[in-house]
Amino acid sequence: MIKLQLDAYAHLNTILHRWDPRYKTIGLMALIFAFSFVQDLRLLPFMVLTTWILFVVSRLPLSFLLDRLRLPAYFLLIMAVLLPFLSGETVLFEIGPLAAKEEGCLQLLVITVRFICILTVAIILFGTTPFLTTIKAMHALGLPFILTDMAFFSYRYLYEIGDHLKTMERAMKMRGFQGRGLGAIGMFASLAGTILVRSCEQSDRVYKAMSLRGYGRPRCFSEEFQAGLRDRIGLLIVILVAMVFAGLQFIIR
Amino acid sequence: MKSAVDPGNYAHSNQPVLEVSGLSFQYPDQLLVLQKVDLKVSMGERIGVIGPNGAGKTTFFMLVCGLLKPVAGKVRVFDKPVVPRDFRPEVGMVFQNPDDQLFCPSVLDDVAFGPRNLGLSEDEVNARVREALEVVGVSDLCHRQPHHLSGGEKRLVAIAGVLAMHPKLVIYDEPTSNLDIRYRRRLIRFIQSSQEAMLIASHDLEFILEVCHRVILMDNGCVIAEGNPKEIMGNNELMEAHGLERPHSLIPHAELHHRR
Repeated sequence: MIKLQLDAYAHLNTILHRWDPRYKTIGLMALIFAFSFVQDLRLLPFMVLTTWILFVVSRLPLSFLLDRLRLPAYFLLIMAVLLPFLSGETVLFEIGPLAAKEEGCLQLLVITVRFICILTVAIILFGTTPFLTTIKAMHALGLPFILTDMAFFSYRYLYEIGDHLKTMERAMKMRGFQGRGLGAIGMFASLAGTILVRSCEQSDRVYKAMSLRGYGRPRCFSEEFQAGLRDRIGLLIVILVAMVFAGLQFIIR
Repeated sequence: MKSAVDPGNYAHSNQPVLEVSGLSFQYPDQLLVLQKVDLKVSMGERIGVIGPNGAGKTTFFMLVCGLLKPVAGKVRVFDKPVVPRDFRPEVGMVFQNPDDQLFCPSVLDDVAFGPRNLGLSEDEVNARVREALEVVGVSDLCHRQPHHLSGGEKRLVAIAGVLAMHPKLVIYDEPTSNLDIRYRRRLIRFIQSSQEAMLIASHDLEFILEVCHRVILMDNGCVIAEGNPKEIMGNNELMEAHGLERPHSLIPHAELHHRR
């Protein structure tokens, strides 16, 4: 089963968990952007080292990380299958009529390492803070409330949809549905459509309930974040690291 | 067996909390769902709204809350007209499905949702949340996630979320649905001890008998009868003509109706 919950270990107590969520968001997002610029193979080990240090400090379990990397990894798999055979000129090895090229393989290596490092840092960002706190931090940083609310409710109701799906699958199984063969595709399509319609109707009811409790009026948010010197130093360090990566890549290029 | 509510036993004020006159509503391209409904509700009065499915009860509630715009008639709450989409914190509604109104990650956040939208200070919000949770008796659930609660707990937390806004009129749509006996009894006691005016729609007619001062019977969008709960619900012909039946407690036990 694909695991979705990001903040299961947000209750731990590490430097990263205690870091002010606003500064953590800025710092780690800057690092993610810096990683996305990296093209040179020589920078990859340092990227891996930085990511590994952050992961060890966060004390998030490896199984937690691997579970959350599983779904995005399927997209990487598609790249892994195609890129070495489509990109480059220097042939490394051949599999029948297909020739794997050195440039394609190296590109795949860069993409894979970047992919894993970026996702790991993102999982650390969301895994070390309760999701609602992350949303509040984003709002405190200036993200419009409509976007933060959309993010929050999407996350919240993913679980509801998951529960509905489970219940309906159980009901189908109890009426003999095996889920095999081409005929099952139509059934799954109906299931998906029903879930969509029910979610839409529920969201309408939820919105009505929210309106009755004042949602949509201008809100005054009290500033609930209070950053200290350590938070600022942490931000400075991470921003410097991000700048080093981006700077080195720029120079090397 | 609990006795029915004394119809006169509520605080009476000259100014009605709710005044509905000639209220009609129609969905686009459909027949009239509500036809010329009139109703007055006084302070502290509890009105039961009974009727078969499709009678227009929920639509009526949506109109009272301002979630729908009537095609005719007026709704006034505390002598101010209800404007569709206008926020009126003095009116609260507890939805039939508590999952439709529990959308925050913790009970505390959910109950605080309404007071925060009122623009209150953090201290006032905290005070209201504490008070609402205590009144409903769910203070021990404050740090739990709403979607992990039982049906009864969800219902009580949903009520706390509405009460935190200090409404004067609370609308309950099928409040005892999916509740076990224990939580049903707890809800009855809570409602009986409350001071707010209420509109309560329910198929649980024994519940209506226990908590309501007055009852209106709706069918096909019209108010068919209005009055004392015992008299209205005790009228077997009237009840059966509108898809309902007399509550068992109102069946005279001189009639032999048990086969044993």
